[in-house]
Amino acid sequence: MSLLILTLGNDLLGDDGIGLLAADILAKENIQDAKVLKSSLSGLYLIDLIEGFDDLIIVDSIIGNKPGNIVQLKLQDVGPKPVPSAHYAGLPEALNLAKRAGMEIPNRVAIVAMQIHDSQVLGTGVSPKVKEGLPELVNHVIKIARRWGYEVKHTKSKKHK
Amino acid sequence: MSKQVIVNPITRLEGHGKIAIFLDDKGSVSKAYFQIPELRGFENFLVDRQAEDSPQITSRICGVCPTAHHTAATKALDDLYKVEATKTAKKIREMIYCNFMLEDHALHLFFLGGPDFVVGPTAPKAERNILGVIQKAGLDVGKQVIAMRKDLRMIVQELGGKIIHPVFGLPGGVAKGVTEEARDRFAKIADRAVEFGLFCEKLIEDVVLGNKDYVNLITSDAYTHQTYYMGLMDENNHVNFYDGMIRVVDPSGKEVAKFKVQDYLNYISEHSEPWTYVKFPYLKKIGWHGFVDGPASGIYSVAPLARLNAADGMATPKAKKLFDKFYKTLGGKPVHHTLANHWARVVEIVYAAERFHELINDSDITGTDIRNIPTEKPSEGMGVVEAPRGTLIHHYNSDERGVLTRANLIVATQQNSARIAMSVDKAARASIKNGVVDDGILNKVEMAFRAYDPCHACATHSMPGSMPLKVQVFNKNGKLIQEIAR
Repeated sequence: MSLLILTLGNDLLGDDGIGLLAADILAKENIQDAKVLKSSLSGLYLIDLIEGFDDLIIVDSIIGNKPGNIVQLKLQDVGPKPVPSAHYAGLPEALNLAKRAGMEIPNRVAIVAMQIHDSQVLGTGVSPKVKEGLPELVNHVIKIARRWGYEVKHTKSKKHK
Repeated sequence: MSKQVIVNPITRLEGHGKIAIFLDDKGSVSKAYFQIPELRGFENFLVDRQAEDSPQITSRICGVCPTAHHTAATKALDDLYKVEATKTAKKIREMIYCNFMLEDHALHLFFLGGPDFVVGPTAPKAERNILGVIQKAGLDVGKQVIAMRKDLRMIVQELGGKIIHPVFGLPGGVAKGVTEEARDRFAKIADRAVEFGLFCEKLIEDVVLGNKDYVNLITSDAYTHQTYYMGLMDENNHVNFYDGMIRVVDPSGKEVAKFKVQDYLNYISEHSEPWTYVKFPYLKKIGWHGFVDGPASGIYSVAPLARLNAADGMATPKAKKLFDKFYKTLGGKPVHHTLANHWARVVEIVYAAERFHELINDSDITGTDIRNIPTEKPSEGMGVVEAPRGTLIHHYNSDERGVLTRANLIVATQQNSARIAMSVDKAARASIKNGVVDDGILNKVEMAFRAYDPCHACATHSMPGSMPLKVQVFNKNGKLIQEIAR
């Protein structure tokens, strides 16, 4: 059993970087047989990163009305959609393509996303409301990992149930 | 007297991936516009920062081609500090760059195997059959690509560090050299890369060069524009992705300009339109005469097809052979058919693989002199590379300390936006009559789009993961009457 926790984001676009902050915390948690990866790549490049893992948890931001709120999505909730060019391909399209090409892609995929208001504001640093939601974001990921059978020892955060 | 469409300033188009179509009082298309994102944010963000940070900062502009920005930025720094990179450093940079072009092109060829390369539900049977062949071919490529990409990526990771934003370009050189041991490993990968190139060559021969129906599809009028073409060339006028002179040919293929990037402002101007913040580059000497084709219009395009059109040939043998076959099949040079871009990529894949092979087997590649430390005071610098989708220029001004005072980035998509706008306009006109929008409009518009693979500054990742294309139709008063998206 192997788990990939893939956090996506661009740390120069303010709140879009929240996923990357989560990676820093998750990397310190002792999740057995799991790898925590940060990436600012998009589109089809994501295929490279996920190959060979049994399970996948994606951590990302999502545009929404309640910044700081956590949303959990299934892959079916976000696509894939026909897209007008390769540049527009996101993770669902990448996974779909990988599957059709006969790649070994993860069986279980969960998406944990933090709601943010805007992903277009240039600047380093995450806004306070969004940052407040960070511990819960981390907890969410750990809960899923445990549910899937991955042992999590010596957690740093005290909020896990 | 022609009718004027007055665009209310409030309706100035913002955001990305939008196409706006304005109707006249008969309900026919008056004008169609393709909205691309602006980079001004990043350009402003760079001001007051250390110039040496720009290769890392600008690599975050696009999550699909960070290496292109990283390398253009590095070369701009060479120029800013008036330092030349060492012989070995240049070769290492070019090798990594060819590696990047190879994997990026291959990945996007793979994309053809997705369910998205649609010609439309009313396409004739022959086209749908072709589609099946392309899809299958795309998936075959996909399997090969996946096997090879891991290896190619490993090279960049090793030379650029395993952190998410690779550091390999420095003013005057690179951060890490290639050891003999690494060279031997990389050389084996280069052998496989050349084999992969040949696999792609066979693919294009089977799917394109031997298939009359597909050639007819590619050469149809719908996506054809006779513009000028621009690309980076070596001293023999062969395509070079990493360095050279910028060469421009006219719609008949004749050279009209060849210049160093430092002179680009003498050749390229930018034109404003009231409906967008983005400016359209055009050839200064020809002038801006509207969104029209032909030698009297200063509109030019970049991209694999443009590069091939601007070149006299390819620098490596197998690529050169394929280049000749490509033009023979498509009716001579230059080729004005946008759909041919997909296949021009294949010629470039073969070149990238051969060039990578040449460089890794070059004895200079393991040299230990990998950096010249800058000694001059910085002031102004420009760097150019050929990104997968076209010519990319970084232009910096700095103070004496190397703190940026100004940054101007000209990206491929920007340079293609006028041509894309014309394709979108054509597609819109074919799909809207008496105010009624044909269902097929999205497909037609996407076909125009797809070949350029425009970047909507995908630097952002927030879900929804993919940005669907949105088509907005406005009536003669500028009021939004219809919005179409998937």
